[in-house]
Amino acid sequence: MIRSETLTQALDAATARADGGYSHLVQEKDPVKFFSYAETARRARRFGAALQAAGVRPGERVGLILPDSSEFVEAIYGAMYAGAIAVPVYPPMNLGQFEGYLANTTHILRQAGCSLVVTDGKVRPILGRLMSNVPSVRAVEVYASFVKQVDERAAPIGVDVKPDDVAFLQFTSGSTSRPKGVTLTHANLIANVYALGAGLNTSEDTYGLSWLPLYHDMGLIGFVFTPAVLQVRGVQFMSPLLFLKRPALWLRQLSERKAHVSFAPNFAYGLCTARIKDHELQGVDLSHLRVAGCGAEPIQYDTLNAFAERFAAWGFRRTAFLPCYGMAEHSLAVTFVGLDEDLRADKVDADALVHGEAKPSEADDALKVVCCGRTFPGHELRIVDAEGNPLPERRVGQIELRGPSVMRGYWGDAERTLQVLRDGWLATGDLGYLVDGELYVCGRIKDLIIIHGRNYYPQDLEWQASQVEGVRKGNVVAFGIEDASLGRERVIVAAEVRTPHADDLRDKIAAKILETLALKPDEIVLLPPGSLPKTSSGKLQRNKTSELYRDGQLGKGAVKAGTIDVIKHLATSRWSYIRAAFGSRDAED
Amino acid sequence: MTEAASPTYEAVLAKIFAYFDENLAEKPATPVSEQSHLIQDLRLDSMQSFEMVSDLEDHFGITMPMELFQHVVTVGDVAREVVKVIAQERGEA
Repeated sequence: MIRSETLTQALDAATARADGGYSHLVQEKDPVKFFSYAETARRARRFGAALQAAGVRPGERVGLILPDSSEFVEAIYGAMYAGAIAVPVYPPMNLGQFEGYLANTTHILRQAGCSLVVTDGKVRPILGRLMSNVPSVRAVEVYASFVKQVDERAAPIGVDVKPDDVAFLQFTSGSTSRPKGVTLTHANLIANVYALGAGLNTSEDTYGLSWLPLYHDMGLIGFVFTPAVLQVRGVQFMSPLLFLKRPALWLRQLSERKAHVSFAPNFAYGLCTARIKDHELQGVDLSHLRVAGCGAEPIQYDTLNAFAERFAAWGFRRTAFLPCYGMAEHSLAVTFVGLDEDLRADKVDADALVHGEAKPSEADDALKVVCCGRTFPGHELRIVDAEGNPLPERRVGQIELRGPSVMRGYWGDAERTLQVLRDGWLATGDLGYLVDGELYVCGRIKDLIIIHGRNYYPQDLEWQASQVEGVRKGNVVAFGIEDASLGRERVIVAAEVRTPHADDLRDKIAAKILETLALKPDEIVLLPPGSLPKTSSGKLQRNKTSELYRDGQLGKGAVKAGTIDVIKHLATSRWSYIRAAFGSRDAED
Repeated sequence: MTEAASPTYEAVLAKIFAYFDENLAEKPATPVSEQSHLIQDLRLDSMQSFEMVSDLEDHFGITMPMELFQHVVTVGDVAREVVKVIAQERGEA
């Protein structure tokens, strides 16, 4: 197989495989739609030709708001054939929550400077006001009618796609207001796909199955681009909503399609363990599943372990688990553990960890940090201190990355690009440490709570508080505020609870955090569901929570949860939002 | 129709009430009624919404379309959607 240099070249090469391609399952009772690579390429070209007919020139940005996986796949490849830059935007899921959705979508389209938006007939009506808010947008088109403007066999003309061309923008809506458009070239994506393909040891027979949203890097790069580049047998998509409604359907489809590879964030494995009933798995056989990837949010050893124990009876092998670390700024994957390795956690002393040292511990209260494996050939990873000096093994510092998968920058945002890219090194903002060259991720930098020179990760406080009965899991925010009278930061834990006036809950949360982290929160704020501020995409906002607290406005009702928060959950490129929006049972950010 | 008559709106409503009776962790301030707002009154989070829908699907042997989530606000809305889907699915059968 000749190595492709661009994604369009890759799809063209894959068309030689008549048996390979993409399958789509939208509703449980619908038949699965199969489009070969050749058919997908033909449809994609037609979309590209329609873009040209609409006056879209190479380099122009096109917003894609397409819930249907087949339309989405055709549109993103089609934009590339036309030399345009696709900007995937999450679709709305809930008509009751349009204000937030429209505001966030407007920010993304503006930041990207999109000239055209393509959506479907259901979403189109609610985007009515969008155009007046985003001056660059010339038209909002409906996919089905848009492509009919050109012949079925039409294709874009005069476009020469080069490896250094921007392939698409991946918006990662951080908890801060301005969305960041991660700018990825064909060369970036090709490099990452070949690297992760080697890590997965794919063959021409490999079959994948995914319910991940396609506007998120793990779904898009891992399951739309990777199959064509590596010319594997194919992939079946199922709607993320189908998985959420009926988690058993994921396992049933894995069994039915004899899929070898699937990926999901930690929370999904927890959801399966909690929600699936035995009778839903009649005849299910998971023994074909070679790789059950887990990434995109912090990995909990206990969650994966519980999944492995529960589903072993249906042939699930725990060695199929493949914990990994990745981020949009590095295209997708950064590290993988080795294939067929058992799930491994490093047990470390919690006390030493807050001092920046990952000290092995066999104590009962030791923290279990899951091993995320090694980076890929041709890629570099290092752990640095606050001054940027590389740290030795078992010292906690910022994870930095260098190599061909690193993004070009944030679209139209030189300032924030410079903040994270220095001398080719990408500062991830994530904290981790190395043992025998393998990565262990243990938090994020900017949200650290520092007490008496010791570092506490808010995620840890939030996780522990979430363990208390009555607390809405995943709906806890911990933060520190400078307090001169104390001579240190004041530690506040704001938790959404089912019964806000239960004072004993306050004590239980404080006791839990004290017991597990040896930190006594100064204040526990109990709030009714929906009180904590979230981004329109559903990620809990620590900074905003802290601001509201300072202003005495926390829980004063300015923030409401949506009718059904699905929208938030499907909303963005960081899975933590999803977990947060769902109040998921297991995960933590 | 040769089989049992389709469940009425009231019957579906009764099933939903029974579901909440068993599954709501926190009793709402006022009893669940068809006007109860799923979020504001019943404090349903998204995962619980999904659980409720899959419970109704199992009970009535139907498949609710995804679009359901776009305009359902109250318990009564859910019941009306279920009745509609049952009628559609039996009509097609």
